[in-house]
Amino acid sequence: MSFLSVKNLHVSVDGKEILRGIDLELGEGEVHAVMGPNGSGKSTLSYVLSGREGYDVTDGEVLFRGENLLEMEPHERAAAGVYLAFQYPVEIPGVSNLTFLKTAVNAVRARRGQEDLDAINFLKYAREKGEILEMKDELLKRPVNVGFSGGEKKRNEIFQMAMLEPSLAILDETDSGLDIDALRIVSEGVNKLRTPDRSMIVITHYQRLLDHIVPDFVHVLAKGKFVANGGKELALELEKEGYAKFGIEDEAGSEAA
Amino acid sequence: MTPPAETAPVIEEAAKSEYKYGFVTEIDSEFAPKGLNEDIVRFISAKKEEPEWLLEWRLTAYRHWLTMKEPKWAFVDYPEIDFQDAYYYAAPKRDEDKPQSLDEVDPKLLETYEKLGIPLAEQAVLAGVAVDAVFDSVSVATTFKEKLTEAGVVFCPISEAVQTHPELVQKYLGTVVPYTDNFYATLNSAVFSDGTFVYVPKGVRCPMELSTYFRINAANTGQFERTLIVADEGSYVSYLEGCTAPMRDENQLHAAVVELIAMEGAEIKYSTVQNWYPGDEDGKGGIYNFVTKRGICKGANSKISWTQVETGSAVTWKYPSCVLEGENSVGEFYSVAITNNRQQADTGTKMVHVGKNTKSTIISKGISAGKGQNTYRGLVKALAGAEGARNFTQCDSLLIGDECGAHTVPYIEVGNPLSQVEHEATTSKISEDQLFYCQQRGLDPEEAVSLIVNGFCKEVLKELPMEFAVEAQKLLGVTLEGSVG
Amino acid sequence: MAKSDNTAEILKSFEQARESLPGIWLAETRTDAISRFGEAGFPTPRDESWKYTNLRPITRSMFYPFAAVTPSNGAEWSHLFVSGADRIVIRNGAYDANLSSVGDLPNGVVLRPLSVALETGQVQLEGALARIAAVDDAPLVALNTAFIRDGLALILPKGVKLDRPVQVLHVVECSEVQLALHPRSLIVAGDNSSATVIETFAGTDDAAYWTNAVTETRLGKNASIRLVKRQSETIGAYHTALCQVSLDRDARFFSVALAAGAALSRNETKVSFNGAGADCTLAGGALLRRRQHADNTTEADHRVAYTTSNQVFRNVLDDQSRSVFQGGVIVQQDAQKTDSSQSNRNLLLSPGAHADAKPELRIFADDVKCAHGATVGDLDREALFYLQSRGIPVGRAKALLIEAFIGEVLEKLPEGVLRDHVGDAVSGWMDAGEGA
Repeated sequence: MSFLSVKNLHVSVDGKEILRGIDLELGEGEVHAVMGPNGSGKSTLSYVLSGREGYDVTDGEVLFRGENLLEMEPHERAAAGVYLAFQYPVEIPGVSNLTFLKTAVNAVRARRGQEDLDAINFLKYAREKGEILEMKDELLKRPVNVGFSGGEKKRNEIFQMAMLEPSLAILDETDSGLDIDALRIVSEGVNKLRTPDRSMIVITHYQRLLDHIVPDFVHVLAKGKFVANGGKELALELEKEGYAKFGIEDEAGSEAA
Repeated sequence: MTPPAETAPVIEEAAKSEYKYGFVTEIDSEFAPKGLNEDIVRFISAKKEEPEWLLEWRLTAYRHWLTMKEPKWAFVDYPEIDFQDAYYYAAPKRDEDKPQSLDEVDPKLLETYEKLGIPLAEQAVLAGVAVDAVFDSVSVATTFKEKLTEAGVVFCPISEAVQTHPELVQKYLGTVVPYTDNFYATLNSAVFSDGTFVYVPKGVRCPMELSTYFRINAANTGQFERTLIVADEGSYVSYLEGCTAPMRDENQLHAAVVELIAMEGAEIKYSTVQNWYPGDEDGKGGIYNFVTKRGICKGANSKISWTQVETGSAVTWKYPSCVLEGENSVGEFYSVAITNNRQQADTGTKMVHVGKNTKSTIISKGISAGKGQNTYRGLVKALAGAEGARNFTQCDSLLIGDECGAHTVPYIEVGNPLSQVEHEATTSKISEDQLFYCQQRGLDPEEAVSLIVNGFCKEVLKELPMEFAVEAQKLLGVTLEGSVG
Repeated sequence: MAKSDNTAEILKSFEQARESLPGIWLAETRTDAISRFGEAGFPTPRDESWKYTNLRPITRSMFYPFAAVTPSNGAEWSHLFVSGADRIVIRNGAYDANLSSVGDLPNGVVLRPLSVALETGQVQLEGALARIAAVDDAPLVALNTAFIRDGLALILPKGVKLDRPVQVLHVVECSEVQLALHPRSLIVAGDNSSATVIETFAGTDDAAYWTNAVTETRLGKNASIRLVKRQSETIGAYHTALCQVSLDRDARFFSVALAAGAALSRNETKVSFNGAGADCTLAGGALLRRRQHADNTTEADHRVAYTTSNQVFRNVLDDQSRSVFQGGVIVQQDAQKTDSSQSNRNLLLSPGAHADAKPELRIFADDVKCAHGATVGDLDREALFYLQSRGIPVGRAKALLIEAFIGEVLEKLPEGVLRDHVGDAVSGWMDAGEGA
């Protein structure tokens, strides 16, 4: 039984087919990169795995540790260990980062049959994990993502990941909008969270993230299908020759340099 | 949370007071017949052994009430009330008629108390368990009333104050909300059942939140409550009315009046949590809550602050207001109003700037779910003499579901060029992005809504006294249960 | 209920005048309308939508709908002409052919004084005239409907774009009696058509009268109408007006209405959105002094999904004047994805001035974006000081700030004749203040 098994996945949004038969086998502890130009279906893949409404699976199946992932509610998937680092983290005014995470961590713990963390232990835990991402106390107290810079938002996503300790982390364009320093902090954070029992799907448009987070496998997504699969060298190839080599038009590809 | 140490003596006091007024001995004859006429008004007054002036005041109010019509301008809809088909005086229930222990109480009610985290002893009081049965087991600790007496604070039922401090009551009663004020206030003036009187003398900072008392007594304040709070020069008092626990009451119509008077340099903080029975999912049987609340900042540098969390009642009609007479006086209104199922709320405030350099702040958060209708209605008025008046109003509405309504009706009347009035309002819904984000982090949809709503209400909730803020947060979640499918 | 106002006299005057009113086919509509008015009477401040405007000055004295008026004393109106526009002039309530001028029009376009259209174009008017503006709960519209006599009829066939703006100039030159004028404009824009209409109201200094105008506008799919209104009535006049707009799918209505004249004025605009993609912008305001009273009342009724409205109103008040802004936004249950914003600001220049604002939102749908804001205050002290510190005299500095304030309305109009026409009213107002 593989850790995550995606078979012939077809997904439509508003009646329009976005994913047209995705196959993906992910072993425990493996890091897979999914690369592709804009509009290839990268975000759709991350949303359908995490259970967002409006993404209709028209064919295929997704087994997560042998269980049918597609039948689970989003919060059940989170409890089961699926974590999505959002491309555009959402603001929740008036709710502090800590309150939010305490609610989330305890909700997940409850479903995993663990006891609630009390306020003191939670704070200790949060500070511990915060150090990995260089999260200052002040960031923890601010409302979720409100008034955060782009880099702070992405750091916050990885910090939350550290807190929730998922077994499958999906990073959706975590590198977009980051300068070099922020990219370093974020990817170092991710690397620290890389353990033998945690798998990751790293979705990105650009190769540069993969210099920091070195994947075990790379898949190239175009028009809703994987058009190439390979090792990390595939990313470099793509970087050098562009998406065109795979017969893909990408107007934004030139930015990759 | 454990009940504050002050609780016990109050309970004792409450327990005693029933005997003191001899309700027990004559209880069966203490029902006035249905309907309202001058005899009923006289009957109520006689039962309370009121002085002649108060009876006269009630009668004048009653006669004036006969000339008035029920107001129709609010955005609420309810069947015509037959004012002759109601009881205007009923003595409290005897202990032997009440449940003798929590085991006899509706388990659904207890479940809600549990969710709100209300301590067992208080659950018993709220559920109407016979007082003796509950409090025999509560140990008597420090002296609550003594502490207040020491500070010179008068804090008692208004019916008692009429006997013990008649000069104060006569001096201030009806000076903020005159008996002619409006249909419901006039009715209240004629038939008010009981309520609270507070007097804080010059320079005294009331040594405790006047909240615990109400937690205990709230269940029995009657349908025409009357509250009068006077803060003399340089004094401070924080008063909390109501209860996060759902309160059941057979009386459908509630028409309370609250009057606040702040002298020079005084500050009154008045917080309310209203959670009267909202009726069933179709709104049947819920309370009509038609309240007149007004404070006057009489002296310079005085301050009145209203904070309300309105989650109950089938129909709410309520505009806690401030008349800012003294120079530099400050009025504040912080409100959270939730309507779910068939609930309707038309609530807001009036800030009337009379004196120079007066300031007011209005923060209103309306949440509509189910088929609820939620209206903010607020007046900001700066009179010609109110030079330097300032107002800031922020009114936000949140919609959950597509069958509810959120309405904002501000009235801004400014007659002075040296004043600044600003009003901002937004209406939005809980975004799918926010819901999904929370769910992705492991929260179920109801937890997610509760969290987002609490964030939305943050600016108001932080104004509540600490021990209540926690319960109020839970209350928001409980109120919205079932609003997301 | 005993009426202390002139309702009875008005009913009587209608009976006397009805025979002389144009368009026999409209007789039944008139009868119905006058009886509606008779039942309802004038609105009073007890009516929530008239809370801040009391019509007592109008209801207490008598205005005559049809007085014999001596011909023009040679009053000169050319300064109010918008150059390059087709022009219909309504003088003392009736079409004045000499002052009017209409050039060649695209095929099928009806652009006529209403009195002419009533007698000749029944087919084109039926189904539109007195059908768009409802008389229910609108006694002043009912009254206007009963007395319809002249004004504008503009009917645009599908796909026609009018290159020249159309100006309707209403002038009153009568000093011997107090006239009651009930001008009516009808604008029907077919699918994909577009036009600009300018309504200008003015009178000679010695005239005292009451203008009670109604403008009915219906826009077909993807049609676009820009309505510019300059209310420069003489200071002794009263002005009440209602503009009712109905928008079909993707239609766009854009209006700018500025009031600088009249002792008492009320300008009400009601827009109903009946098709997805419809959009409206309502901009306006008032410049007031002495004891003038100006009321701008709006209602944007979003009935269907995906519609947008934007309202911008600015009032400047000097002396003892009083402004009212009642902005209404209704979002009905089916009107998901409505996007609506509303902004009202009031500038008080004198201790006696008074501004009332009631920006109202009524929302019955959940997936909407609605925001409104209202402010009342005096000139920004800091800005004033800043200008002075740069050597600008205080009077000039104030004028600059006032112009900038009202400029937020003017800038909604394209540069050129339209902005100049309304801008002239602003500078006229500013100039008149300098002498005082």
